[in-house]
Amino acid sequence: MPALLENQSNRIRSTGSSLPRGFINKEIDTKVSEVDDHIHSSVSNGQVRSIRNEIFDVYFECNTDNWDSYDAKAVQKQSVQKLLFILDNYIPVNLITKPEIAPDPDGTIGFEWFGDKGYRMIIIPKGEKILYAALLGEREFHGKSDLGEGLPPEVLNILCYYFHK
Amino acid sequence: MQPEPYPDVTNDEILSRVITRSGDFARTKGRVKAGAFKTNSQGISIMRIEGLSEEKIRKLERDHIEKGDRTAKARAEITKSIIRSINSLDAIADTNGSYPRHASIIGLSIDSQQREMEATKLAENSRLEAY
Repeated sequence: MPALLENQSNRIRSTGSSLPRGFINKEIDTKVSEVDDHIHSSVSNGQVRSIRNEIFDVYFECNTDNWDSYDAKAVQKQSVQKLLFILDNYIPVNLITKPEIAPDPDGTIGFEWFGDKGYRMIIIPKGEKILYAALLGEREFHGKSDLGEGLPPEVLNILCYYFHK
Repeated sequence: MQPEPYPDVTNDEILSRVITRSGDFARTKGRVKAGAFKTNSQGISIMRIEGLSEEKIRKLERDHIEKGDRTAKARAEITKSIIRSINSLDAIADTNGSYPRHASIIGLSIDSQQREMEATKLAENSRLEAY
């Protein structure tokens, strides 16, 4: 198991449903092992900057109450800060497609990915947790982890496998 | 004279979630995003548009949804039977006097993970009508 995954699996206890055994195959392991390198590479930095700009755009669009016409709460600065933290530290932007920025009516803001065949994934900070949910055809996967402990290996695997570039 | 009670929502009736934020759908891909079905309340507000002309649908949206510079950008269409196939969700007519063609998706989970999943499934199973 790559160092990143090994470290994370030691630190994180996911509350989500598990994917079938054997899901983590060699191909995915190889991809995920590159995550550390890419997160801090110069190529990634340009993409991170682009995503950060979009986060700020959505924040300024949704930082007043009722931005959705259904009584949504204004997106909170703290939630933006947490999403930026997740982006800077946990998301392998160079390996996966660019996320959409998804404001939530409860005042939080997160990422949403779209893949082939209707595959979808959401990652959103809620309080001191990171909440994640994926719809992968007939399969569902969801759970949460502590904000300070990163994304569970299963989540990174899903991102790299279903939402790769 | 008592007003007629609103008829129950039928299984194949077309229901609409009006979308006022352009980021909640992708026009070119014909895709509704989960954000279109997220709510800060206990039910998701929807509109009963079965049998209405496009002109009347838009009028309902102007009268009951659009506020200030928030105009309807699209709608996500879905049927009650699809809604009922998702977890414990259901669609009911609004009996609280909002407006006659108002309805709600109820039965949302109190668990935030499940709620994300419900919004995602509703989006995935709805049809986009962009303006």
